[in-house]
Amino acid sequence: MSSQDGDALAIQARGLRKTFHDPQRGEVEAVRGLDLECRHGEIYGLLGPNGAGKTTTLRMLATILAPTAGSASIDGVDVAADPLEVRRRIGFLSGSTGLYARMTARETLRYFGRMHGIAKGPLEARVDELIEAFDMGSFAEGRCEALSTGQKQRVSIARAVLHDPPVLILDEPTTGLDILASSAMIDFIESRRSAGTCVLFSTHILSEAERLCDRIGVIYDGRMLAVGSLKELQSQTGEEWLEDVFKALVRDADGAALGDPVQ
Amino acid sequence: MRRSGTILAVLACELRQLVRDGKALFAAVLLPALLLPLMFLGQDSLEKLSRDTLAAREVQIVLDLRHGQDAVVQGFREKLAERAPIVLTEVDAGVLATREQAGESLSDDTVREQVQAIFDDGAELLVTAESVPLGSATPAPLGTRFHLYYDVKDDSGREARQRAQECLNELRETIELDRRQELLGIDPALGLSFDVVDVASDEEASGAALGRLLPLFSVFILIAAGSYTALAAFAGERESGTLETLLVQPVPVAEIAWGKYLAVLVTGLVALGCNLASLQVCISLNIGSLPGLGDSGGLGIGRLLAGLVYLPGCVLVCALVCLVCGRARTFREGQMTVLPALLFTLLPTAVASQPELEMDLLLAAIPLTGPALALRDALRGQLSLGPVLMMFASHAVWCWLLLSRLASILDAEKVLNSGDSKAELHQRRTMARRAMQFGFVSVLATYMIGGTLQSKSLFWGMTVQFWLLLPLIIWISTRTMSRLSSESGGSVLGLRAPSALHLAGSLCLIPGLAWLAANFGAWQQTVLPLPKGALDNPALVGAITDFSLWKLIFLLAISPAIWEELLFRGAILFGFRHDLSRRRALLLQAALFAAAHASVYRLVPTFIIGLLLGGLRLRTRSLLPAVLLHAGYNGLLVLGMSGRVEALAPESWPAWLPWLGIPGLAMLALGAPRAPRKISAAPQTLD
Amino acid sequence: MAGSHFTAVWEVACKELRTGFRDRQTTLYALVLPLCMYPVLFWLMIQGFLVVQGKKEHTDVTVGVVAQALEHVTPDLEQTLTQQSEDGSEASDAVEEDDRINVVELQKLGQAADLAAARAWLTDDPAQGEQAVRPDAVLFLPTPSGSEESDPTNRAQLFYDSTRSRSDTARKRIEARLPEVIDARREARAVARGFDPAELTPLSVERHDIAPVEDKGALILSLMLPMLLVMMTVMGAFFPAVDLTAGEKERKTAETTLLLPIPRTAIHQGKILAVSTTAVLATVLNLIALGLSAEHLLASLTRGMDVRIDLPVAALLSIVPLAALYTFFVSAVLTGIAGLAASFKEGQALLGPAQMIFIFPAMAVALPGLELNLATAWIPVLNVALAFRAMLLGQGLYLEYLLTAVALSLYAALAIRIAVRLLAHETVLLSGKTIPFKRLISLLRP
Repeated sequence: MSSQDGDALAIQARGLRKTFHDPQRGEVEAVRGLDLECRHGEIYGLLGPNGAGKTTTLRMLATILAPTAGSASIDGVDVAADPLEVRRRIGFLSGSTGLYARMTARETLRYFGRMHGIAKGPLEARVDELIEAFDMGSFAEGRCEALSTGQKQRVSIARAVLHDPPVLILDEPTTGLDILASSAMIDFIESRRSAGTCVLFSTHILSEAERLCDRIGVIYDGRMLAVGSLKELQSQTGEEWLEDVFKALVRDADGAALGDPVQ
Repeated sequence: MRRSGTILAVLACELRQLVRDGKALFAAVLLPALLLPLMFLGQDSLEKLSRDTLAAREVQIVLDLRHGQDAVVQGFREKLAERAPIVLTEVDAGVLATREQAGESLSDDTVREQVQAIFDDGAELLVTAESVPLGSATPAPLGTRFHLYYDVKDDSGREARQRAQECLNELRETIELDRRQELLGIDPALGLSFDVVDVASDEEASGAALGRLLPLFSVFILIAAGSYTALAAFAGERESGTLETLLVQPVPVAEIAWGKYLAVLVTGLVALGCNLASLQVCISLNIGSLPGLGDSGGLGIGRLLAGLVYLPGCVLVCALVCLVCGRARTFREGQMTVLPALLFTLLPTAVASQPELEMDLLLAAIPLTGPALALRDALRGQLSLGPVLMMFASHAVWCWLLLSRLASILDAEKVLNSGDSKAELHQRRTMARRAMQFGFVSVLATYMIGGTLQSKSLFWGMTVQFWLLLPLIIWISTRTMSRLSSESGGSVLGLRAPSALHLAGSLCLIPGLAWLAANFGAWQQTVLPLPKGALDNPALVGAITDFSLWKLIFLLAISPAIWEELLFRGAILFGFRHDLSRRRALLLQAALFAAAHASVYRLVPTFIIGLLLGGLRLRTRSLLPAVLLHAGYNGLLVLGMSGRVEALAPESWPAWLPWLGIPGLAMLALGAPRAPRKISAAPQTLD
Repeated sequence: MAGSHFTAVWEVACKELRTGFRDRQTTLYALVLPLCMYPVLFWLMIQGFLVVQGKKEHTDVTVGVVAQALEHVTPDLEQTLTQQSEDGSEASDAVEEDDRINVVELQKLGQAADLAAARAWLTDDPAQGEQAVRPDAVLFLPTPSGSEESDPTNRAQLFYDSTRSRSDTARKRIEARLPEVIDARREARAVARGFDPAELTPLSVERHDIAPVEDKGALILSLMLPMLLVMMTVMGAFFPAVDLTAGEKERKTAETTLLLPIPRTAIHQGKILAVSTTAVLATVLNLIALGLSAEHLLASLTRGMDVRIDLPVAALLSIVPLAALYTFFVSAVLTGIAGLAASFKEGQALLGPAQMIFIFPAMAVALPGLELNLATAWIPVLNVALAFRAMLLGQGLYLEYLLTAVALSLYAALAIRIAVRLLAHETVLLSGKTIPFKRLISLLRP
């Protein structure tokens, strides 16, 4: 179901804004005018500290949250106009998208498959295929609550790619995973490139970003500070290690914010 | 840290958390106190509303008083007309008006039809009057009989009947008074008509009313408030992981348990205090008509001090709440068990609301009932020392039992393996668990299905219960047990021959047991007497007298002996014994056996017999002696005591017969069982 | 697209139900517990009743008789007061020790001049040597001065202490037996004078209740069942309402559900459907269990009374549509409110008071005089209870039933709409904290 239309961008966001009302802090602007562009088959990493607005941005793209202002589209479909269609074209995974504890892995996949409108026959085949691909055979019939973290992760990934979406959105996919599971996740993300899927994922683990991303977008304080491949960012800031690149960008941003009273 | 220091620290921590949780504090402690006046007010206004509504309702009464005596009828009309709002219409009641003349020939259906026809016009009550002869002389003087026809389902009909009845009562009093003076001269019963005077002072009466109300009230508040703290302290902490942290501190678990328990107790008592204050406010402001409380219904210092006698009850209730919530692994699970726990504590406490029940030593020892009765008596100023001491002593024992369970529940390993430790434990004790489940099923099935069937037909009900229901359960349970233990069904049920000595020994026990049972029954009757009406169950009485001897033996001796033994001492005891110690297995099986007989009067005897039969099964490694003993015991009791067979009545036994039990016991103790002990890898097997 | 919308709703509901009942606790407490609890409770009540009754009957009481002149304590008085058992059967001389129930011991306390002195026997402690035991009640017999029956000085007084249980028992027994003495004397005098004793009671009254035996049973049921129906539905919906909303947030599957490619409204409607189904199941199970075990209790309580309690099949079938609508209403309200909570605990705390809204109207059903009419048919909760009561009593208020159905449909639809709107709101869905009530209005504004 991936559209390999070279012209339409896989993900496009213009001027995204999101304001929350927090009972303790008042009005909070989590995302302040963010632009984003991802192409098909690209792995795009969103880098930034906690509270920068990564999760909020990704949720807006996944139609979980509605933007306060601005527009976004996935594979040519506007998130505000037709969220249902958008959901059919993305696979979303985050630390807070858990699994239904009392269903088995197979049942979970079947459930989501049915929701995506996949017919019974092909659905079963697809589920078997996924179980095979992610090596879930030994625990596919067990309840999700009884699975280990690594096993749960595999089921979640299978769920996300069940309907073969052209876009994958992953929010800090390796947080909380051990070395082996983390490495498996990284391998998986890399494998998507050859399938032509656009993968947008957020992280604050710099080594991952270095290794995987075609392009990196640095988010800080609700805004995109810089976008580009690793080399481009290095030359832009004059630093070598991504860590230093990041710190430099942040410094500039802070300075700009302080100096510029009107924004 | 010193012991008391730890306990206080835990206590302080729990209380602090509760106080900082505004919502919980409000809901647990303050909300009931605020709702109380509302509830009283609401109840009051509702009652008043309903009374006024009915009193103001216009009722339509149709009258056919043609055949009554004029003077009487006139008097009735006058009185009735005063009961406004009322509409009186004359009507021709047809055959109903001359009912007395018609005699018994009027069937219920005819009456109903006629009255319905009359009521179709909107009437709610039909009153007819007829002259009836008084006495059997001819000619007899005449009196008047009134008939009131109404439909009990109709509110207005009942109201109309009430008004008419009151008028007739007044009329009757006047008429009878005159008639007595006319016929008898001076009333021979003069000086016997009596008034009832209550010598209790207002204060005492209100104390008694409080005594009926407070025990239930206290239990409710204690549980409602205490469960908040208990859920947070046990289940909540287990969920959030902080319990684990606590348990790895270098502090004995018991002290942690005590600290949490005290927090629950404090919360409960504080909530109780708030609510009592609220109650006091209601009483002082005269909100709601609390029955009997009146002006001196206040909660003065004296009464509060008297209330201290309920402290063991508070302590026990809070311990129970802790236990229930402590076993829960999640908040959800704990919450679900609070409601049943509430119901089960309210029941024994409700006993105290029976004013005629006196507190004696037996009742004082029953958990929750004892303190409730003590509180009731204290509030009406009639505490007697003996039962109160018994209550304190017995409740100290109950509390100690519960609290020691609590400490064992907080075992670190169990908590750390939360979720899985239970599974592991269960894995190791599957058979005992299954046995318990089958036991429950048997008890419930006997009570509900067996009871229903027996109420339809005693003979067939009991036959089906023993020959269909129990065998079904036995079959399923035996198959399960034999599958789980890899032993044959016969081995599970103990179907093997016993040694001759053992057999003889068990037979010798029969008369002794029956004799003991008879005497125990007599003793129990003094302490826990059976109400007379309970024995008048017509089906039972009919059965005892009408059934043939063989039927009785079959029903009451043979059937139970075979099937109850196969179930309780066969499959169930096997399951328990496989996983539990001998003592525990015997006790549990006997408890189930006693419960299955569903009568509090037979509880103790059947429990003891259950222990004995179980012991016999274990000792002789065979079911047969138990079956024979059971059959003989039942047979002897039923036949001998029901008087059907005089030769077997206890009075005609030779004096030495019961003493056969002694050599019987000796035979059992000394003889070796025929089946040799199997040497198996499992540590605890039945054989 | 309505078809696929409904399919989505159905799928969500099925999944929620399936996973809900897989939880061992849910099945245990929602299914097994009611089936076991009611029989046990009722058994305990019956046994408790028996124990209390037995103890009452076997309590011996002492009644002291004080008279102004001792000859007033006549043999017939003594005999009647002491020997008859409460069911009125004449006790023979050879009465067995064990059969002595409801015993009254008479103590002839002596002569007393007036009321105060008689009263003193009851209230004061017994003087040494005179009486060993303080009587439980005192009967004072005056010397009749005149012939006026209503003259107060001619009447006897029965003193008792209402705060003492034995005293109360004594009073009851004397109140039952003393009138027998009175009647017996009057009859004897009438016969002696040549009159038939029947002439002393020229006015008699007979009551005839034309309701058939089954209807009396139906009356009893109509007092209990409507209230039970209303309350059990609420209790049955409580737990799944919290579980499916706040519980899901706690288990971190809320977001996962949001990713489903179905309309948001379908998701929340599916949840409400699941809650309703569970509520219905719980109610039916509870009623069955209650009914089966109550049959025992009611049978023993109404033994001897002309009552028969049949299973009101027609009424039960007729109430089904109304009950279903009512269930939807309750589920929608409770689910909507529970959706504001962020954890199970908070959810429970929110719904607790919310339950009160339903309990109060339910209790109002017991009021006599309140019935289903054109006005009350529009009050939610109350209308379904009153309709059920009317159906149990066999009243054919068809117009009112129809109105009730219409009203309930409207309320249910409205409640579902509001609940779904509330649940679908972003803040509600994803806020990590419980939303206070006061924000409710702002959330509902479009």
